[in-house]
Amino acid sequence: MTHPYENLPPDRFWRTGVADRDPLDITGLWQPKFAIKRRSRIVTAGSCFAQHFSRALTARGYRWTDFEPGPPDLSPDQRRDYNYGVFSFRTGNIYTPRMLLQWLKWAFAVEPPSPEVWESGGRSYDPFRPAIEPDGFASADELHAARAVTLAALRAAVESAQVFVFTMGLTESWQNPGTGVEYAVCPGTLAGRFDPDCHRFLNHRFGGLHADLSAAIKLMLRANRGLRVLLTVSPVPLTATASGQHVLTATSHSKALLRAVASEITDGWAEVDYFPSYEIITHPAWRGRFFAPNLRQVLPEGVDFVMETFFRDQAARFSPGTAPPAAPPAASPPPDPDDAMTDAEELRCEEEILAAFAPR
Amino acid sequence: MTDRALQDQAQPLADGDARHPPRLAIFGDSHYACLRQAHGQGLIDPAGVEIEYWGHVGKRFRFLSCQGGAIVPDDDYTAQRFAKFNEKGRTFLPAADFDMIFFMSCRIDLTALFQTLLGARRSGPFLSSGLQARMAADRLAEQRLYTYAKALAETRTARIVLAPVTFPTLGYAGMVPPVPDAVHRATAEDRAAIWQMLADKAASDGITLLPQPEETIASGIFTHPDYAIADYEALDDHAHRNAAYGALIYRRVLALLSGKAAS
Repeated sequence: MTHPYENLPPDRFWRTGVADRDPLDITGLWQPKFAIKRRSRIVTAGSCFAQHFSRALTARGYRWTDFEPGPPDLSPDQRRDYNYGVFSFRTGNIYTPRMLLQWLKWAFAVEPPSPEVWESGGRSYDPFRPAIEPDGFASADELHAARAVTLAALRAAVESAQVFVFTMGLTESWQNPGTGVEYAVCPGTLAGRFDPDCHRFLNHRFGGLHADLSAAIKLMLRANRGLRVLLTVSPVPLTATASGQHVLTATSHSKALLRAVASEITDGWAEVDYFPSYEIITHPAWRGRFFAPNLRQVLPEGVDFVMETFFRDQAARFSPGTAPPAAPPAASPPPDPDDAMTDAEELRCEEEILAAFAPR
Repeated sequence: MTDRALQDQAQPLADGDARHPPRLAIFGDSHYACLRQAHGQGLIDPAGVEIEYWGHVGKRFRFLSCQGGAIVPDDDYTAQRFAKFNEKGRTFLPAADFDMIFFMSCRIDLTALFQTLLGARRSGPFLSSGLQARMAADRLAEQRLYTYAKALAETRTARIVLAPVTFPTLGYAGMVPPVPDAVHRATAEDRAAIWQMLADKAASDGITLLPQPEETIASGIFTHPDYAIADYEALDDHAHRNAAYGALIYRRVLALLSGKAAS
């Protein structure tokens, strides 16, 4: 061997790994550390892109577990509007490592949950998941009761899951220096009222992100030594930035930090892995084909390709020679209840009417 | 929902016509038979009210449409089946011909909703009041005959009153999923809270909702056997009601028609 690059496989070279390939044939982006099997109990949390994981896992018969499912007869619209089944618990989006740590500290009673409530129009909004109910809660008591259910679900999820998928979305955040809490969104946007004396912008830096994510993982592993954590970074750009920079460069800044923290943590923890959904969607190798025209929303084919890569790379590493699982066809609609009425039941109904109208 | 609440809803007909007596249409599937029986047996006193019945078995309801302020059969066969039990041989039901149309049952079954919400109230899972109200509103809105009631109410001719299918008779074991113990322990207060959400939604659609009378409830979510049809066990009929139940409901309807609460 004359130098270390001489016998490397084709995917270590740009020309053979990327430039000469059809983008949809680029393979081997992920060498997973641990197997995620159909029977593995998987939970998901994080920014909005994380919800695609749960859908894809469920569609392929994987054991994505919802620890706060609500009643089984909720309609799809009700589930969507009240944020059931989006993540494995109703935390709403968790954009930053600090927010994850905050939720975990509350769930495991490291700290008492914040008593803060945003009141608006006679309704109570949870500052840490202000959009979880479309019209907020009827009262602060109801809000806290609902949050206690979610904290119990988060605790149960961490304690009994085998894989915790966390998708990081942002470094920018809004905090209350007086209480130390970090909000899900800037007060005054979805709910609440912005108060410059109480609300402070913070763009998390590498050290803080790393420390918060490390603390969150430590807390989870203390509760469940068998847990494995899969990190991803959301490819969705910032909606807006308060950093003073252009939103494009602010997005690059945020995503670069999150991506770097993901690698740093993954390199330091045997229990933690990183799946490159961020690269698949955003990298110029795919020429932006997975973004909608606004260059922000990810198209369904992008999500499909990400998840195909996920399952294919899992199969390649742990089940070589087998095909990755395919999504099953959609279920047929439920039957019309009138069709379920038997002839005997219909006859009974006729008899009732005839008896009622019979001459006396 | 209490009788006091019903009293609040009991308003005289705003544009009652002194030239004719109040005109009431009883529209329903086979569950309206108990009303006809109460009437026939003299258990109610509808003096001064012009009453018509218009209905048939539930399976024919899929061949009904609502258009131009009337319930209209989709085919002649269905029209004749409905006309057969109407005093005037009506083949369709126009709202403008009546001061009040009472939708009795009409396939509008809320038992599953009650089972879910009563269960949640008694033993969880926790459901916010907002989601409960949404479930109640959606459950009504997704039922075809409810949309017909709403459409007739929008004509602002007849007042529309609606009573959903009664809970199954105590002893019925066919509920899916089976009724948990917590639901058996549901209280009048639990049920009233759910009825109120349903009534609020109905009121927003111009409809007066008539809850199942509390005195007819047994074991949380069932109808007391006193209101079952005769030989209901032998017939395995836990759905239909007797004349006593019909009389209870009829009195409430007549009270609403006259602007007085039921006694």
